Amino acid sequence: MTEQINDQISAFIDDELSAEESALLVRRFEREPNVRARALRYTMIGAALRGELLQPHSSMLRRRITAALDGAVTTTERLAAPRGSARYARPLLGLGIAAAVAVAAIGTLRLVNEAGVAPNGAIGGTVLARDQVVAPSYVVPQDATPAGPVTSPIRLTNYLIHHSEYASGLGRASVSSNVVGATVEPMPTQAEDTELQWH
Amino acid sequence: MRSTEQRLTEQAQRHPAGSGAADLALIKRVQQGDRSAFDLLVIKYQHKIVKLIMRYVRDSSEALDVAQEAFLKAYRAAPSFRGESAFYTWLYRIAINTAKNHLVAIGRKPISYDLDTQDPEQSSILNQLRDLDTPEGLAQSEEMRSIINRVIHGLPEELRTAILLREIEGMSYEEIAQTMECPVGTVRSRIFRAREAIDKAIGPLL
Repeated sequence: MTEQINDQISAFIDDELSAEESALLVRRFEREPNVRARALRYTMIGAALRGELLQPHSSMLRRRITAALDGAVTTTERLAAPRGSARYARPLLGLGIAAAVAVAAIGTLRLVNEAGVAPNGAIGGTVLARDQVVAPSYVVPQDATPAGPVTSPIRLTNYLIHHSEYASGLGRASVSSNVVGATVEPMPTQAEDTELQWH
Repeated sequence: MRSTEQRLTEQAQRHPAGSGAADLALIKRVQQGDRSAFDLLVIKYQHKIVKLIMRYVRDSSEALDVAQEAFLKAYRAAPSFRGESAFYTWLYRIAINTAKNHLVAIGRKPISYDLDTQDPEQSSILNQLRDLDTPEGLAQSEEMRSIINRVIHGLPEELRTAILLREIEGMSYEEIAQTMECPVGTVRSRIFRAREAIDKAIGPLL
């Protein structure tokens, strides 16, 4: 690169080159990267003198604009992206963890299901033990007691609500506690109900 | 009816040096699809545009984002540039509008449209803006600035005055020639020689 060209570059960045000279130099800029690099350095000198240097690097904005015009990702995104094998390591690790969790979940579910169908009700009963037991088609409960009075759940509810009056100020203050907490008549049993209907 | 290209060519031919001829030559190439010509415009104006945008946004990385957007808008709008104003004036308007739109988009008011360095309160804002720069970047800039200052002080008086009048005061070659009472060609040569000396000194840093 001759001194004459450098002098033209200097005048060009100051916008002091004639139209003809500018047109010729612009063509040279296209062909010779050195000419372009010198223009960049000259503008940097001016920027440094005026305290306008770009951070962190003077060519960063230029590279980002070029990348954006190319339709590619920006330099920052490129720098932020992991490189080489590390780029794929993270998704693969995630995939591995997901697969391991899925296998563990399937295994646990299978075990729970198997335990649920085992006749002795023991959780974790083996498949072999289950197969060895001959399941009866239907078993009538021998010690089955008749269903308790209908009042039982109501008594339980009353107990809980009355208890909450002493146990918790919040429970006592609540509307439902005051309403339901009042003395509740036991509901008639099925037999009593039938009698009432006949009357 | 004349095309935009013809009009720009005529304007560039009419333009003497120092009145946008170089920019017109570049924008004409951009309109013909020459991306490298646009790259030269970015090289030429990126520092000024980022400095301008820094008046509106709070940190340098945000300013870079807005500047990038402004340059991309300018590139897309380049076919409509008719050369009725100087390229930099046109770019300046795009940059300011982009910065304002950015502030509206993020729901923030501009810091100030014109910060006055004489006002202590505003001067403190400017100092805060500078403080947001990265330490590495500041260290590199500081090193470069100190080398450049050293070289400038070592230059012959006429070279030093010429480059400072141009870069700091923003004078045209014609104005510098009048100030220094010498031909315009001499001013051009002095500025070039000053730049060459600085370029050699900062070469290892780049």
